[in-house]
Amino acid sequence: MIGADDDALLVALIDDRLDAAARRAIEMRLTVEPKLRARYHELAAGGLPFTRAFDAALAEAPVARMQAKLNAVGGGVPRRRPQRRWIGAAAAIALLLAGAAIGRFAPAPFASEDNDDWRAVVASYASLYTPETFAGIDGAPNEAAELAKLSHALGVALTPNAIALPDLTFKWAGMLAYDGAPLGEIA
Amino acid sequence: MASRDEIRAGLSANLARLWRYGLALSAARDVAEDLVQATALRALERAEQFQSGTRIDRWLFAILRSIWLNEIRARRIRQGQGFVDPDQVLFSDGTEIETNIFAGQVLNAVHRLPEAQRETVLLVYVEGLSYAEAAEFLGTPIGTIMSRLAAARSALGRLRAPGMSAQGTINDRR
Repeated sequence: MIGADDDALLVALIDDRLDAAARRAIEMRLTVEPKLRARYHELAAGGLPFTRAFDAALAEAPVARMQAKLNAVGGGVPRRRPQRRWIGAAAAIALLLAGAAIGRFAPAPFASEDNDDWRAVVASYASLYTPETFAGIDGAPNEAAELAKLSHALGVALTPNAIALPDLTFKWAGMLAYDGAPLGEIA
Repeated sequence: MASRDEIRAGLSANLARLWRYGLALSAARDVAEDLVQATALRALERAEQFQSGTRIDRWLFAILRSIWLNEIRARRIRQGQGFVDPDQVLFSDGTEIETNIFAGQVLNAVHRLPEAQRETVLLVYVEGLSYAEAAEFLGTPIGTIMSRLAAARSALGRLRAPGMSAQGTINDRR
């Protein structure tokens, strides 16, 4: 029977994190203890190329979208702690707002504890935006491509002409989700 | 005391790693993205709590973990979504990671581990924390870290698909 202490030694040996004395000691035991040796091989077999695999996951991260959201959190983040109700959905919001339209959302109350309506969550999140939120973002170069992605994902025809509103400037469009349901964000 | 600009720069530099950590915890891409956004908001709110000169990545990881444990995971469990379906694959082999089918196999194998083991594997073997650093970060004894790694290795050794080679195996001396 291999105990937890021996497991710890074997893992540290496999990970090459033992000092010289401890390493010599366990290596000596491995030469004379067949069960310990069997366990060593069992644990060593579970050593997969974790770094390589997780680096591939790193490349899958939606960095551009997360950066855009980070950029969108301007100087106006409130000191108030967001309610637990919607913190998980903080990124999963759809909203259509720009320029002066922000003001329409600003007074919206936070979602009540009994209200799961995504619209309330959207309104709550939108209340974090200020006129400065999108001040430094030039959305024009990416407008057609971002809308095309959104159209494809949502099955709704969205083009620059279709969404254009008088006196409002396109800043950003992206794919979000709320409790598993797809949502598009156009700002 | 750190400025919001310093926090913002730290966030920008670590978005992908934060997402990957969120993915390891939640085993869900959309939840990982939610976690990163919530972490960003929380970190900017608490900018004054970060000590300049210390590692901002660890500080952000700790915030993300706290939000996961105390808010999102708790909510998912209440909604009956707290447990990962072992048949659900995190990455579709050969599609979403087109360049590396093998990576998908490894990630899916890790995905099948219990959450605590997944997290420990990521922190020690991918993020490169020492055993002691991982123990401190997770608030557990080092012995717990070691037993999680041993259990993960044992399970992964059994799950390992044909063709996968072991890593971290020193020269077989026997």
